[in-house]
Amino acid sequence: MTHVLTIARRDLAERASIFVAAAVLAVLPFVITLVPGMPQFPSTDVITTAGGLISVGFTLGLALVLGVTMIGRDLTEKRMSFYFSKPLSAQAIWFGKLGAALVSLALCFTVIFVPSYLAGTTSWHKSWNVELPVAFAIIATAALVMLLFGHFFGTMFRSKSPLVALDVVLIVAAGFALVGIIRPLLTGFAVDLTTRVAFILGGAMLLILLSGGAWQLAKGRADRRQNHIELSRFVWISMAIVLAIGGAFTAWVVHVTPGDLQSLEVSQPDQGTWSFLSGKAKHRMDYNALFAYDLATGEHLRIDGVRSWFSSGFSHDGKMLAYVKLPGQLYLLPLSPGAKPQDLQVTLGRGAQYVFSDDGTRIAVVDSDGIVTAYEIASKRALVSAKMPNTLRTARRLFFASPDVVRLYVESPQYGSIKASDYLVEIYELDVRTRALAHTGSYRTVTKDFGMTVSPDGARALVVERDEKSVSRAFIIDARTAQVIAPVPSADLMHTVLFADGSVGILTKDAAEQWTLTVHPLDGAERRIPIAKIARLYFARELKGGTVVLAGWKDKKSTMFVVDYAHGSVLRSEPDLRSPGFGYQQWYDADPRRVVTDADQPFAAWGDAKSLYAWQPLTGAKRKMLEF
Amino acid sequence: MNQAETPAIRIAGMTVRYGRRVAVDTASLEVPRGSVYALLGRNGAGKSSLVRCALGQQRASSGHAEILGEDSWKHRTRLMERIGVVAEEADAPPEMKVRQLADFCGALYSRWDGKAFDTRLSRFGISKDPRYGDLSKGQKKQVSLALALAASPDLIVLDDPTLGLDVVARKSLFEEVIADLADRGTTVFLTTHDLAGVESIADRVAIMDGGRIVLDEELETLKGRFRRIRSAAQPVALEAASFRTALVRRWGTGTEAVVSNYDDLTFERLRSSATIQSAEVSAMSLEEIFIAVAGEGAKS
Repeated sequence: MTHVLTIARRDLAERASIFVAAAVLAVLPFVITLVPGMPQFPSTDVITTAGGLISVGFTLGLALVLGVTMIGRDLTEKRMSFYFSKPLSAQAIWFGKLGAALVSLALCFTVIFVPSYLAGTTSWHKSWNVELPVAFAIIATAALVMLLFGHFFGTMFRSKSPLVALDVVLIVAAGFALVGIIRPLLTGFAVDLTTRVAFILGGAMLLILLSGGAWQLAKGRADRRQNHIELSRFVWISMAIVLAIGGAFTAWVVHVTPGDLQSLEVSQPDQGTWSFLSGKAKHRMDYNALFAYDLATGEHLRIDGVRSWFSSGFSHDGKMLAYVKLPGQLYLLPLSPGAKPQDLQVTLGRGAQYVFSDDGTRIAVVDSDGIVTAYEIASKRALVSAKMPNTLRTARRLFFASPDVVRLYVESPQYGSIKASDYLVEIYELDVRTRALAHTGSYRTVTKDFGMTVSPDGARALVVERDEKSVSRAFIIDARTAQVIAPVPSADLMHTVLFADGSVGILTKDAAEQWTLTVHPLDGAERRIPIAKIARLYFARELKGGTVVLAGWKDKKSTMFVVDYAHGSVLRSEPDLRSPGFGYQQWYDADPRRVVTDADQPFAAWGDAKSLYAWQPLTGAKRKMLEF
Repeated sequence: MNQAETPAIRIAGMTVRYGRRVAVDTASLEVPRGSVYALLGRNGAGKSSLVRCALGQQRASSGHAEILGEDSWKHRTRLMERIGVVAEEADAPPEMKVRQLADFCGALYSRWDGKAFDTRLSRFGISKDPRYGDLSKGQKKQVSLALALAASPDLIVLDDPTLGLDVVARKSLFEEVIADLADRGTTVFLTTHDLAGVESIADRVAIMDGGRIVLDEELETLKGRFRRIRSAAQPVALEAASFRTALVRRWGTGTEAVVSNYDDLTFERLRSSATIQSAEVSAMSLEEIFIAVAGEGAKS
């Protein structure tokens, strides 16, 4: 330690002129206030701004110069033998010189910074908008980085060795490796994890360079080229180890399986056995893992670069999954084991919506500028594109009314201040064959608080409105022309549903918490089906053949009910089972049509004991797929 | 082998390569304790590379070096406490004043003798105030020597110490300083071109040529076995008489040869023979021997 201090003292004594330069620069911010034109700014602002810039600039510049020269110059000028002919260890030489460089930087920064800071403390905080300890930590880290990288590059280039070419190649390779480690984490939206990994990798790199200097002198001593060889050897072997560990960690993070998930979101398509799972996994912090998951077999396909299932959509037959990767690339994943995603070469803007045609051969996209485009999936070709006239209306929903016709519902915005005359749903049809966009109807609502859902065949729509006095009213309308067919009873959106047979179902609760499902056929008498005494109850899903699944809660316990609404009976109640989705999706999904599922399709449902089940509502068969 | 018998420096099979160029080629030598050992060689012979490797400042490509019985690469830090080094090129930081250099070195050596440093410096006529970089080449050498000696070393290594010194300073270095050190039992290992200066004080010399140690022996023995023979005869006559010739060249109408295994009896027998009657023999200086061994016309 004594020898470290001896070396440091010697180096510091050599730098007296630098401290004088720093002292001169400390005066500069005060001199700048005297420059003509400057009086228009408050002098304290000028002093603190200039003082900050000069102190940081000088410190970082000096760090680079010291890094390049503190060892490199002695080696180049063949003066390192002076130290090695003394009873000085390589570590004492390195840490003595490094310590002197750090002290020089700290002193210079302090000499320049403190007078300008003291001249306008309040102004400094206003100008720089950062806490002092944070600012110091950032500047100290940046200076250390400049110093160590300066030393590394200085040693490298001063050696004039052909090995420099190899170093350059390895720098590029390390850059690629770093991107390879960080990118998969970022595409998993793991900001905290990425930050932590970046800090660890950065810290490891600084530690490698810090130790590398001592290693280089211990092994290379007074030999300039050998110093370069030893530093490169140490840095690249250590870097390879660190990058391999980083790479292995990233590989471990991204090779998460559905079984590792601790929190889970599930999106299930209308048909098919595949679902979309997303969630956070064990020990992976905020890494967002996503999967297409087969409820029938437990097979899964990992999906990269997607934040959540909100931007995903299944084809009508459930055999294809579309999802959007940042910055908006639309991908298509055939749902079969081993399948690879295809880039559809369609870029979606912010707020864009897309839907598949029922036969799965086309995709229609509408963006926030009101441009609607139909694409053919196989050829990745745009078939037709048109701009809707009213671009103020941002809430858009669409579906393929036939393989050649895209129908669009352009609704009043849900939020924001708009005039009552704007409470309107405009209906358009875009015909792929004629390449024409036709306005087919419009529906004026009494309020912006309304919802619309379309029958599975696309012929009729149910509109529910709630006025300012919270009075609900509902109508069955023609889904193409918006002509009112009939008024129907209504409840709020969460408790009103348009069934596949055209009837309307309403859930109501009496004072004794007894829930009743009332079915209102368009023609005929209503049917009342008592369900259960439970705190809350929602529509979960409708099955083909006149069956509906309801999800209920009471005292944090959930129960699923299977109700034959066509015949008016409760077929089954399933305690401790919870639906991952609710009926309200019918009001907001891109495709406004009601979801009616094949009766034998497994239903993704959570058990209360944190398990995901494949549940068969009609038979009650229940298979545990995942625990989380 | 007790400590006194351990050589001050032992180099075994040392090779130093710079890329494809071989600077030192399997060199081996031993410097006895208390001796003055001179390593001679032309520029580029590999002396400085050998010295740097021997001092643990540079790693040899192969081979081994020991100083005072310890591996000089592994134990360099500890060994330097007992060794004074004057490098071939002035390597002290040029910004440092002589006084600062003395303070710096004084803080590193447990046996630092500041008084001896001051005395020696005043004998050289150098003030402690100027910066090292402002000194003349000779003064730099003298300051380096004063620093090296103030550490009270058991071994002093001088890499071409007279380079840049004037005649007076050179004479002072050899006759006063080194002779004084030798008298006090300090081992001196030096490389030099100043053969005249070293001839009076060296106990042993080695000559390096093309990276190889081509000669290594006691100076007296060396001078005893090398002779210049001038005769009218052809050198084959010398070789026929079992003399090994290190250098042969024309001398008037006859031949001048340097033999490296001279003895009076053989020479008298040769002169009495019919083939070579007019031969005359003369002793050689170290410089002449060096030229014969490492000069342009030397036999490999």
